[in-house]
Amino acid sequence: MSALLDIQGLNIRLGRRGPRLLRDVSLRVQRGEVHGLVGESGAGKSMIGKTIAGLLPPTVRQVSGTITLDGTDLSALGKHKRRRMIGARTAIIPQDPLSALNPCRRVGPQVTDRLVHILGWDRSRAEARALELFNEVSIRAPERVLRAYPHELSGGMRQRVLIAAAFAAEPELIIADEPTTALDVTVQRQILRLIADMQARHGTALLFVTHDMGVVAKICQSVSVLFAGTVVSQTPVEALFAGDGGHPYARALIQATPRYDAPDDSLLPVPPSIIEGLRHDIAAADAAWGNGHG
Amino acid sequence: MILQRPTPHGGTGMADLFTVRDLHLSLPDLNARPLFGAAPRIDILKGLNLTIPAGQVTGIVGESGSGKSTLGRCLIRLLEPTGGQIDFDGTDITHLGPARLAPMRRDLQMIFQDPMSSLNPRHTVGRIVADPLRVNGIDSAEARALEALDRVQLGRDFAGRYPHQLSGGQRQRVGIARAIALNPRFILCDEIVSGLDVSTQAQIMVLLENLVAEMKLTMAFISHDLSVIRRLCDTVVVLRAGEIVEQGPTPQVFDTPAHPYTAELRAAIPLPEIDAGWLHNPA
Ligand SMILES: Nc1ncnc2c1ncn2[C@@H]1O[C@H](COP(=O)(O)OP(=O)(O)O)[C@@H](O)[C@H]1O
Ligand SMILES: Nc1ncnc2c1ncn2[C@@H]1O[C@H](COP(=O)(O)OP(=O)(O)O)[C@@H](O)[C@H]1O
Ligand SMILES: [Mg+2]
Ligand SMILES: [Mg+2]
Repeated sequence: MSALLDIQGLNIRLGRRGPRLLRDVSLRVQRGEVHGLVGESGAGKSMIGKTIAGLLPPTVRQVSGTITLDGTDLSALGKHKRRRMIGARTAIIPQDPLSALNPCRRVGPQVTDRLVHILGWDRSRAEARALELFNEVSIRAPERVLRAYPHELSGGMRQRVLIAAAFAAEPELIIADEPTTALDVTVQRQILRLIADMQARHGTALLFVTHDMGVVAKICQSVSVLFAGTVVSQTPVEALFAGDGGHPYARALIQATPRYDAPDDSLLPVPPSIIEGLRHDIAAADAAWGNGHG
Repeated sequence: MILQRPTPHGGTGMADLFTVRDLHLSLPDLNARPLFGAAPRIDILKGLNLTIPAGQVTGIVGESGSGKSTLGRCLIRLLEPTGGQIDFDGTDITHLGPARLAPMRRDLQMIFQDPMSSLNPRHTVGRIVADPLRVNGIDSAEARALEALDRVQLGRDFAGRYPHQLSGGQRQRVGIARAIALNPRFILCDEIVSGLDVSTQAQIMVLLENLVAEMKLTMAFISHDLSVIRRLCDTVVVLRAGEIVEQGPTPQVFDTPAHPYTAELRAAIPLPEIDAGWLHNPA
């Protein structure tokens, strides 16, 4: 069976002649799996999510590559059709729930909007569905939360609301962009557990963006490691954490992660030789690519 | 419940730079201002007892809102406690006014979480590091600033650059250089590696470790990340909702946490290893 999401040879650049932001990115997300997208800030993680969702900033241009969702090549669709397909089959859980919610509107309509506008449900059916999902994500007093303004909820509660909203329309793919980065560890653990449970129950595939190798180890089944817009390795998590799998850069990221149980064997800086090697390869690839696209 | 344990140097003659007794801090609750009379107060720090031994790194850990930054700001007297006492090197500084604090400022330095907002964007790195030296009437400010840039492994070439030309890790090095250039008796670090990428975080932690060892710094290191605390700190204070739930030597607090809250914080950290049970087993 083909992958749910199949990205092939994706190249994104800034303007007509600006730097490449994504370099020949290929990645696959299978149905029902959690695929981690890990890398340091600026590596291009969010850019991949934005490309899939068709939300690239106006200054950024897709030069080449195909994105296939459930067998349909998105670039072959018109803008309008693509929007509809993305809206109906994918959803986003953002990093910062506060900025993702309009502070001046009550939570309820913000959750039900998608159901009403994209799936064409009537308001009362959408509201019933939102309440059902609020219950599922263990929001106590769901009716009250539906009528609350975003600032009246805690960070963890806002993230629950957005998780409920993402699952409400039963998308096949959810793009979660650092959904727990802003949370305390104890709340992060609850939210990760919730996302994993919901994902398994609904059979939804997740593209889980994070910079934290600890989070990758706990929630993902497979993982792509990104460096400077390049996928340097794509493996099952077992291979990555077995110690000998994946790219040396991926292993170095794991060893840079602090561990309370091995203080002197963690927090190891990434060896400069690894970074230099990657930069060298990228410069060579850019030069070759530039001959065709400069 | 407060569980107090002897520090590694407790009672062995190692001097405490800070002694904090029954520290209280409350602020008027502006959300609940009544029509008449004073606004009710919210207690942010609720009677803290701790010491900060000279020449050591004391970790302060807890969830957001637990009062870590407030405690730190009381120590360096950016905030005035509303109760209790803070002794710094034998002097009661709890209620000292600005005039009496001024000569002590040099010895009470702070490094911030967000280096960008604490570095003047219009000043060069050299000036940012040298200015506090000049303000404190220290001779050869320029030369000492350059020396500090060497110590944080930026090198003297950086003196002519501006903050916006630097990466996050480089900016944090400038913040560290500015603090250590004064050779202060105490440095407060408030979440200084929290906003950095893991690889940069690892580099800054190695740098801090070396500086602590070379310069015998006394530091309070605030972090919400227990794993980072475990690496750097000699002793650790665990805060929850304005109270200390546990404190003691770092290895002891980590290996055999006496308070369930400490154990819960530890268990919530996702270690970078496969562990199928982690998500679902209760702490
Ligand atoms: N709106 C934008 N316009 C131009 N460049 C951008 C924009 N947003 C991000 N970038 C650049 O694209 C690269 C990838 O950014 P991003 O995908 O946000 O990284 P990540 O999510 O991995 O931290 C970075 O070099 C960043 O500076
Ligand atoms: N200026 C202030 N006015 C009102 N409340 C404050 C103020 N500063 C901090 N607080 C409150 O005090 C508590 C402790 O804050 P803080 O010391 O910043 O915690 P931490 O650094 O552990 O995240 C929080 O609940 C916060 O909302
Ligand atoms: Mg991002
Ligand atoms: Mg703080």
